[in-house]
Amino acid sequence: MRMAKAKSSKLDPHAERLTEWFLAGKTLAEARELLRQAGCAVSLSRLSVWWESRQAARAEEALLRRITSGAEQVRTVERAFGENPAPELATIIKLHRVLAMQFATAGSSSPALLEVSERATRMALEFAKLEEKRAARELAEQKYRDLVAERKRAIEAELGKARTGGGITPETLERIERELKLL
Amino acid sequence: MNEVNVIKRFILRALMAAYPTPLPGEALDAAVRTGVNPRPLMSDVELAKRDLEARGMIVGTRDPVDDSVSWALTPAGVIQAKPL
Repeated sequence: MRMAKAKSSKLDPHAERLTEWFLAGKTLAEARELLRQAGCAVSLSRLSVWWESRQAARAEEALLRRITSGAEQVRTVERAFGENPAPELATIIKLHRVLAMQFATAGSSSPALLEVSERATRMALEFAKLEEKRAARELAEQKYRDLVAERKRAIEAELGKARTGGGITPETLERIERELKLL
Repeated sequence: MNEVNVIKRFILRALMAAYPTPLPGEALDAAVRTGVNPRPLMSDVELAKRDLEARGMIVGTRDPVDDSVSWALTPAGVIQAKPL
């Protein structure tokens, strides 16, 4: 597939200065005069067309930067939720992906919309952290339950030995068994 | 360069900007409508996507749950998009 690149212009070497002048509020005529002094003669219409195309190119670059930034936010959130997230988390990740990319592509350069997008990313990341903490807490609780069950089994085994060996009074045995039921 | 080729060129650049993250279909369409001047017809955008897909440069993946499509560059598409 062949795709033509934008044609170069004799104004391109002056692009930086021209952009600076136009952004500072200089008129086409003033910019043309400054160019003439720098040794580059150009008509007003040609300068106008060049500036219009330059602005379109700048807008396109800004849009592509927002897409890159949105995609980075999406990847950050996906990494935070791990490789195989639960279905409900996968839904949140997908929702965030659609929102972040929609804001990046259709949200123009509005700082308010970009802020909403960044806030959505922060919320998703906070949610991922909470999920991580919940999983860690559940693991700790399970470990504790396993430990208690193991201790209970060991005590019951010792009690069995004591019962057959007669090394413990019936009252003490009853008390220990009662406490064991509380575990 | 005709209109569809301008759109194809922009689609490759947009997907390269997001690479390797796929772009949801709605986001890609919105990007094309914002980034291509004059604003293209959706039929031309669809034509451009189908042509790039047929040439093996982009690939659309359909979500089995909600039927939405996400677009990404193929390795051939990356090679094409990099110098743009």
